[in-house]
Amino acid sequence: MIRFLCRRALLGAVVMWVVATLVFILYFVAPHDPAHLIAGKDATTQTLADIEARLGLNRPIVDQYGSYLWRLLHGNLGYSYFNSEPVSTIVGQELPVTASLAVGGAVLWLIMGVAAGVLAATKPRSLADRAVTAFALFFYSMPTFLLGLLFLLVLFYRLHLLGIDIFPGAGYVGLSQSIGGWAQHMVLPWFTLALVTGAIYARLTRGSMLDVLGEDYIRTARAKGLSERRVIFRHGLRAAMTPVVTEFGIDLGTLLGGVIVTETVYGLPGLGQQIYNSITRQDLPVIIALVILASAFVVAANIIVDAVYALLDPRVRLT
Amino acid sequence: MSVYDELQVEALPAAPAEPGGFQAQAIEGKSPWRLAFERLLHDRVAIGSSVVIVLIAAMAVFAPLVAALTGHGPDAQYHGCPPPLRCIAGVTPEGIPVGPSGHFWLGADELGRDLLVRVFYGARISLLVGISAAAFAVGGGVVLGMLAGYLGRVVDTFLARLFDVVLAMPYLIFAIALWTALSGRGGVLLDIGVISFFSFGAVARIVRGQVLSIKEKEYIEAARSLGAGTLRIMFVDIFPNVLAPVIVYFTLLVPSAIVFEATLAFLGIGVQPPTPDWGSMLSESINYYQVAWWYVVFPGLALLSTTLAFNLLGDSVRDAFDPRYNRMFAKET
Amino acid sequence: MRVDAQPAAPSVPALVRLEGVTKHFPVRGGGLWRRSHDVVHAVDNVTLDVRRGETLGLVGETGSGKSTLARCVTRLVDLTAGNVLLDGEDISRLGPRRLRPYRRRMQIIFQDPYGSLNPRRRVGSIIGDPFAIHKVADGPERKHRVQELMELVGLNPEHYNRFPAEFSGGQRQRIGVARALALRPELIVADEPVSALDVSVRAQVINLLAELQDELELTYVFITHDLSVVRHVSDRVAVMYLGEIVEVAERHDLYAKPRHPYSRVLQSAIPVPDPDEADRRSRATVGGELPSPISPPSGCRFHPRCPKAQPRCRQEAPALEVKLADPAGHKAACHFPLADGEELPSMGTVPDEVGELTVPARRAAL
Repeated sequence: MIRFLCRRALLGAVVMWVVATLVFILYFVAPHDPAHLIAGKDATTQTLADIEARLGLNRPIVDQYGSYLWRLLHGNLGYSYFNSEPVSTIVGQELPVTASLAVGGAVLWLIMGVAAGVLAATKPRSLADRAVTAFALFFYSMPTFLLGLLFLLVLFYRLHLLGIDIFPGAGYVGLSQSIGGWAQHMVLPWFTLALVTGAIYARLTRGSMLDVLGEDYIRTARAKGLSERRVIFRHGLRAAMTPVVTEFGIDLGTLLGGVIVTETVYGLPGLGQQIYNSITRQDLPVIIALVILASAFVVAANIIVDAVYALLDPRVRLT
Repeated sequence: MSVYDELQVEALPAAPAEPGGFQAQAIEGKSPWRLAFERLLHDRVAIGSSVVIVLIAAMAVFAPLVAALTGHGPDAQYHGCPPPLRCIAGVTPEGIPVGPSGHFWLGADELGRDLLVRVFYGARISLLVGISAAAFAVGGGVVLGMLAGYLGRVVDTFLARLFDVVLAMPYLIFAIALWTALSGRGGVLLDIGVISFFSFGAVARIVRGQVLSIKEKEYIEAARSLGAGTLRIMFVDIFPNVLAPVIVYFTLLVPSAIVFEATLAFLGIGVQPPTPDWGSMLSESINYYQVAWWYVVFPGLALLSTTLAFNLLGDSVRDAFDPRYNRMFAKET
Repeated sequence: MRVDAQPAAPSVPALVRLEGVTKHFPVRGGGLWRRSHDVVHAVDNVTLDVRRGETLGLVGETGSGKSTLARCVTRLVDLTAGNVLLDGEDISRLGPRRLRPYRRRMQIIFQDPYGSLNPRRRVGSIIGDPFAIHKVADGPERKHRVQELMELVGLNPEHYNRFPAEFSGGQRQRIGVARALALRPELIVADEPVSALDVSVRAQVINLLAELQDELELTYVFITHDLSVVRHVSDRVAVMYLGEIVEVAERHDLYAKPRHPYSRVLQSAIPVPDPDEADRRSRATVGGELPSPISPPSGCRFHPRCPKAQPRCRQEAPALEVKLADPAGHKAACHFPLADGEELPSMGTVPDEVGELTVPARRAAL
């Protein structure tokens, strides 16, 4: 198992290096003009020259590549073109927001989705099953931003009109400042993110569990006299989890997209909003930093997913 | 089936056609397509969702008609006029949209435009992008999936990795980046291109899996023993067996593409104002939802109905092809 | 397969000649870094003739390589070594395009009536495939010929548009036979054509094949593990063990005077309906299981299970040649073939592993 993880980690490091290099090639070699971007439209030639010298844009590419990698490894992510703040500071401020949203949302959707799916599968055709499938279909068809909007409209505004102020409309309160405030501000974003994806997982788990529960070895377990709970959880769920884990691995990549939308709707000052703004503003250092960060996240998450796979299915450890 | 069946088969004569006489018909077997279609016809959910889809399509097609009937164009802004003159106002002087009323059945937006007309026009973009992106994704996915599955080894390894990479990419980020790189040009075509590109991987993966399992079947070996070439085997023997899951996936890909397009529009990518689009309408509505609930509800309802209908239909189609599938709204049996 | 008629004379030229045919499959092992070098020795050095007009029965247990040999003969796989000659022409190394005209002359009937027909195609289309592939007939003419074929094999031609799912197992095999006959091949290799069918249906299909052989002057290679069927249908029989031919003979000779111990075992395993007679006769048995074809035993591959094994058997592989005083067509690959009337000594305990013998003390010397 350790060797398996080491191999994966090594592979991950290689992927990261490739990503960093690709990003470098794309943005440093492709035609663009950072000096103009920083200085603005009315900059003098002197200003432009100064900026170029400061950024080291005159040096040979290999040289730039070398210092680029060096700085990366030291955590120096450069300075934003937009407001000249160190990118690491920006990231430092906004990462907790996105992390809160992403992790909270992911945990929530996993729990909700799997629980709902198991419930529906173990009581087929019952009211619970129909309810779960109806809700799953409903949320599954709903775009994330629409759900966010509806939440804001109903749970925030309408309740606010009625004098009930549980859910805040926007903004973020740091965990370190106030746990209650943090949770309160995150509830709606979490559910927005989680309900849509959770519906997918509910469907998936339901289908997978139904398939597994129909297998002969489940019948055998029951015939042996095992308690129903043991049959479902120990035997059934374990086998049914594989497609769910696969899906989770895929969703990690798209999680980043979902985060962007949710942050935009709720006005959360996180990395999702940041990357959107940076791309439209062509703020290259920030873009680079975020792309690399995103890749690191995906790579790390995939290693974790692979580890879970290996736990669930011992055959995987041999590859 | 017993031995007696075979005896009967050999002895059965073709009965002569007589008036009033019993005529032994050459019974045509029903193809799996026919069977699936008939199952679909008896499925209430399928019929219901198909009706909704037809209605949405009608919305798209007859949008100009609605514009003519109400007299409001999709881009026409009604700001009202200063006191001596009388004209319709879709928005108050303070910039607050007017709600559902005699003039504006579904209300108006912040520029005084008729929401009813705009919602109808919005159906065009959604359906156009949704269906064509899904079609391209399926087309590309089927071709590549079949190549990967049948040609095997090197080609397969390379293509399979490609599918995985494309599937795992955070598509929204790349869509944003691409749009920026094109300096904000592209519109609908960009939408279709981006969505197809990020969707074909899933189709290809499914097709590849199907082909891999079919490839081992004996009737493929039989075809080779008859001298059939690779192309013929792919088209005649493999493709029909691949088609069913592909069709199911297509009906599920359409709503996913519609949502994708709406999300892109929501972020300001792809379709640009003033083109009416449900996603961009909803994007604007964030600023006004406190004073104009209709701005959120009506485009949102339209969007949700469309995606729901397609998803339900996809579910029914899947059930029609594979009755063993544990569908979501099963009839009591 | 003319049950009571004379078998084809030995001087008739061979339709198919196999010379040293060998097929090894690489074992796919490990990941990208650990490429395994093991091979499965599916078929090893098979030299055999198939005479025109005869039915050659090919017998052996599962894993003996019969199906692989069938695919070698019909060139569905590439040979690792050796030659296949069809009517004197060497088809061993031809590519798919050059092979195509030969495909009209040799066909396979497959074992699985459910897997060998594409479930999504109509039966008429399936049978008509050969006509389409080789551009022989089109449209109404094709339909007409397909319906002729259906009648020939005993199917109702009006079922032209039905799907395979609407037919029984026996009928599906008939469809497979019709497809194989479409282009009037000279050779038909039947790979366990009745093994998947109900016993009651087998006779019908076998009789059908017999009739067709007379009508269409076909040559059959009939592969099976069912010994009673082989005795019924074959003119000559070849026995395979672990990828090699261990004995080949005219049918009567093989069953009356088997020379190879394995043949004797097979022959005595044929069930006898009369219980009294069954009690009376002596059964020859060997224990153990078929060893893995990845590392077959050295020398004679049967030696770990053979009651007559001697040290020579482990060291030297016996050649397939005429033994004792047999006629020219009867060959066996054994150093110590059974003489007329000789019984196989029975084995004490069961040897399990390849090469390992746990039996009587006299073996300890090996």
